[in-house]
Amino acid sequence: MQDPSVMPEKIKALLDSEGATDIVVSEYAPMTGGYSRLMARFEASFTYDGIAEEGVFVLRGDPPEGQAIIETDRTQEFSVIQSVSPYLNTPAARFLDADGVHIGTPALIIEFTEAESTLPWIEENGISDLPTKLAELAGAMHTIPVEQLPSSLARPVSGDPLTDQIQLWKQTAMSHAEHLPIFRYVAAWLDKNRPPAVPVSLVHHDFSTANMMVDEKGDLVVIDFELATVGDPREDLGYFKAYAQAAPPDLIDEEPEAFLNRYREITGFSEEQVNPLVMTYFLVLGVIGVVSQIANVGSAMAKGETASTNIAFNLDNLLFGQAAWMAATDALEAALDGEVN
Amino acid sequence: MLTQPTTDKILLAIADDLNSVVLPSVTDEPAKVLLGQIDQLLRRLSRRTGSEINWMIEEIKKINAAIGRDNTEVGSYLLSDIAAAYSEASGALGDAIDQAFEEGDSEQLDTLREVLVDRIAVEQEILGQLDLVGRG
Repeated sequence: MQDPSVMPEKIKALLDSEGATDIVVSEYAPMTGGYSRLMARFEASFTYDGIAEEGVFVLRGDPPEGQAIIETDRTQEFSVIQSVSPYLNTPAARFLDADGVHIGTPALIIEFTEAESTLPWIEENGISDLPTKLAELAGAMHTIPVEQLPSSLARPVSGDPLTDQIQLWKQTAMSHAEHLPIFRYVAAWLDKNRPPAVPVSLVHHDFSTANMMVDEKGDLVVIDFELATVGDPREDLGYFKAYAQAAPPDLIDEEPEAFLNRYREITGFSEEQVNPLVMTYFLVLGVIGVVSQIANVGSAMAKGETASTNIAFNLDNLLFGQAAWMAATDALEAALDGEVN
Repeated sequence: MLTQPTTDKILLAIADDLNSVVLPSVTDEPAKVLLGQIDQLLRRLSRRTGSEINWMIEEIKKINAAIGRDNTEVGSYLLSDIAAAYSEASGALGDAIDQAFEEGDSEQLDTLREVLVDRIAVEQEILGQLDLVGRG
């Protein structure tokens, strides 16, 4: 996917297999910003379903075997994007090479968006009304009817998403290449301090400014559903806050009440179900999906089964996470003990 | 063997050269991101390599004290042997944490938590400043 001299022909072959005609592909160029997948943008014109189209697209495919820091499925990502597109501001998924027959690796083609990356947009325009827009985006995502989501999307095995996630913390601690006592502390702490339940919904699982852009209307565009599952929607709020600690600003913290009020209004959740303390709880709980994947591939590298700079780099980021999780449990302990409000 | 300059200094020199000589001549964006990651990793490895054996030995002692276990010498200064002993002690610490939570032993939990807090302080020393190279 990194070779611009061969990729246009491969993309043509994929579009041709999907029934497109009059295909012209040009300006193929690898992109940065894809954390776990290879990405490239290209221009294309073609006729599909009798309609002539012309535009910029993104090819998003799996890296060579053994080099992915996270193992996910392009077919599922494609079907998730298609199912959430009617509800969310997200670039449409257009074509899929499920087995990599044409592209050389499993890949999908998504429409390119001219929207700007969130952090540079904030640097230029300030926070503006992004906290409210974020609440609306999260609310929209978390109220998509679960029956509209692909049946292949993982559901809580135990029937309770919190139990599943806490179990994943324990499992990650026990199956890593070395013992992880901080993970075990966090798992036990999360189990002891469960908040009131809410109905399950789509969970993005990498809900962060890295996966959001701001369009010309100032609305947030959400991308990258490769880690999505059905689970506790508050995992996304916690993950957002956790990520913002490493890459500020935290849009929720900018206007917490405005954010929470709007989010509760859209989802119908109560103050007991979603409040600052509950969000801090999920700041810890909500990261385990990504963290377990990073830890697993790190274990594989420790065992000599794979190796890359990216894997080692992301493992180091767990050190930052460990400090953040312990600080969060500390703050929550104090709050639950009535030491702070 | 030649021990000077020590590994930590050599790693820093490599990182500096990558940054000042190699990076400016690279135009490919994915390669620039990779170089950014390599730079951070080399600087962390430089901080880690000088002290990691000592850090692990000292923490094993702290863990044993916290969980009421006798200290035994690892008997080797090979990194792999020390790392194995460190992992074993970490597992014992994890068992003690589970037990303290199950029994609601808050005093013991405070003691065990202190060991974790000390571990995090070392990790932060290694980590330095976090820069999520390659994320939008």
